[in-house]
Amino acid sequence: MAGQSVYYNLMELMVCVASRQLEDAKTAVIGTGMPLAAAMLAQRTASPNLIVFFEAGSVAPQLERLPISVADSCTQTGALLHSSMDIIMEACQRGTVDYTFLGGAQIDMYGNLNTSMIGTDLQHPKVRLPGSGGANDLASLCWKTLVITPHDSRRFAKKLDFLTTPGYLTGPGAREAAGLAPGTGPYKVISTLALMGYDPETKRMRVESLHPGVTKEQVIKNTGFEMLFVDPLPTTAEPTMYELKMLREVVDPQGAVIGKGGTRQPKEVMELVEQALAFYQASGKEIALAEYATPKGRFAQQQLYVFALDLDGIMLAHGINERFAGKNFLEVKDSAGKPFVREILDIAKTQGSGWVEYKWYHPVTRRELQKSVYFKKIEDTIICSGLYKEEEDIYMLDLL
Amino acid sequence: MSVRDKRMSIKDAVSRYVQDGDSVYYGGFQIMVPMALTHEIIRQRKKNLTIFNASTDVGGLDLLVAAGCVKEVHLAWAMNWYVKAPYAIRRAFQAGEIQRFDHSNFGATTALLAGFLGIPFVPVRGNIGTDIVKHNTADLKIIEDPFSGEKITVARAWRADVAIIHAQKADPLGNVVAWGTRGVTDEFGAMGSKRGVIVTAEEIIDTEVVRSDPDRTIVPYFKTLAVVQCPWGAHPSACRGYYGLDIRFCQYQGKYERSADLLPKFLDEWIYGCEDHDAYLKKYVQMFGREGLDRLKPKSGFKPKLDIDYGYHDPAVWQGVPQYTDKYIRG
Repeated sequence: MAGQSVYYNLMELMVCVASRQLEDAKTAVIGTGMPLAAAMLAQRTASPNLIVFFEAGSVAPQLERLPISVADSCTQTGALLHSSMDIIMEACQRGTVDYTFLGGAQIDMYGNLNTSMIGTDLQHPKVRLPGSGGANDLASLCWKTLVITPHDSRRFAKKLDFLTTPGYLTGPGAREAAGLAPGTGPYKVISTLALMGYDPETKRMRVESLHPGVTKEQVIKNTGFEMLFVDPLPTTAEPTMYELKMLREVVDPQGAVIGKGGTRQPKEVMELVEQALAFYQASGKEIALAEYATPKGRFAQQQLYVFALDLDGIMLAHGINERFAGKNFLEVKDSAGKPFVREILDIAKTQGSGWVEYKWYHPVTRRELQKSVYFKKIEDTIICSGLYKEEEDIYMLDLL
Repeated sequence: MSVRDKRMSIKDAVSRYVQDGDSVYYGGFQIMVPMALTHEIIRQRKKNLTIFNASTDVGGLDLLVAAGCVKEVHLAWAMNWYVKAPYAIRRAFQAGEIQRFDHSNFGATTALLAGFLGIPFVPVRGNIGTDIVKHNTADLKIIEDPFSGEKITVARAWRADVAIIHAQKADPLGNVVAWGTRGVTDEFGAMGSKRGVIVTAEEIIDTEVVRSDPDRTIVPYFKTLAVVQCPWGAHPSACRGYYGLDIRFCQYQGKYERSADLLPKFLDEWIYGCEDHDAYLKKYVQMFGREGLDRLKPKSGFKPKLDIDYGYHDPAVWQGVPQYTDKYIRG
């Protein structure tokens, strides 16, 4: 995604990829968050007649804005039928519903999910999770189950601690043998690294495309079971301008799902870098660097701050960590092994400015988060500012 | 089944009709959660309750469990969605203070349907093949379909001693009126309950008004034990046509739920420290302003355009009308 004129974040990519899986004139039971954004985007792009059901009872509403929960009052707007959970589930049981979206704490190679507990003993778990909710029913009854999830080896687990929600269970034929309807089952997984489907023979999870910038090795490293790959292995198509426009302006203008990172914040980051650059031009390098390094200085704005690198990767000033000053960052790699500082230098030298995305552990939550940095070169200094994705974005992925 | 005025204070309703050790159908889903009744049960320090519920996302069950009222929960999902964790229930479960029987949402509504139908169980095509059915044999079993021979899950009927629900309107006799998407079909749990239903309603209306639009009656009076007029009785969950979800308050309450040390302070301040739901609302307005509640009201109306007329037919029109006959059909 580096150096491109169209900036988009990982959430936006995932929503777009998810929306493309939904065919027109089909039916879907949708939760909140990213799946709902995907369904609403699909309705505004290739699938205007996609019918959305909400578990709390609304059938085929005309959604004006992204509801906050499945029971949000605005899920009722313009609906064709108001009912309740059992009516929706009964429709699924009759075979009326094509798609559903789920998430989970763990998923295995057959697409089985765990939302019940982490640990080995249900009566004494390490962590007791919320439970099935409607997940078990939806995955049992809908024709095609899609999952949206972060991609790491704990989550893509070799063995589930608890099987809450059925995928292909133990492999080919197992769903039917257990008593589930033939032809139903897992369909796609949209993760932070790739789009996956299932091998028709073995019913095992299989990567169908890698998101831009992601390697096969990265997926292998972040998967607890042996992942299959299609050959040749394509790259996930990036969001189009039209998809991004619909997503940002119509579906989620508040940034509830795609994050403030998708709309307002990059602009703010770019403006901050411009301000820092103007200050550099007005006051000279020395004063500017001193100001950048002042923790409560004029360039420290809430979570945003600036830092400056020289053309060899030496940190000249850092807005929140003074100990970084003077250190060489040239060979620093992100948690996925990407030498992002080198990439910043390369783009700054050749194009003057740009964006680079990398993965970094959030200092508070210790979770791997996507970070984006914008930078602009002036003389022999590169002025940079970055942002983490909102914490909520990750939560949205966690629990549907 | 008596025809009498069943209006009473929330205090009387709970003290008369909820007994220690009762099983309780806990109404609502993520809307219409009987929060005022939840608070009153906590206030009266009821003990050893068994809860039947599908899913609740505003932390009502978290409060009930944290206050020590519950010994057993049968449910599909429990969490305060707005802080993304079932903190008090998790702590109580992990400490061995409550028993938990896991279901799925459809499994739970099917268990309620079975109770509603008055039969011991109903088949449901879910939970099969998973660890849920392996661990919760109290509520779920897999049997052979006696017709096809295939395997099918059956959900045991849930018939609670008493049901607690919130609705938009009720009349003094206990006819309960509700509309809109309601999450769970509360009438299943209510009608299936053994002793009957305690209902809080936003408004009390005349019986004559109920009789003018009976399509919307979800519980007829003969199943109702008590009627409590209780505006904002589902707060912070939503009540269609009256108020939406109070997300900020759910988050606020959720921050208390997170901490075992802080949560008793919430119970003290917002429940034990408030005499009733009115006092709770007064406290809310004091802390967060009238605009906090105003914000939850519908931005605009959403009234039916459908012109409904049930029509009245007088059997007297047949008086004196001779039988229709022809050359084959004689009078």
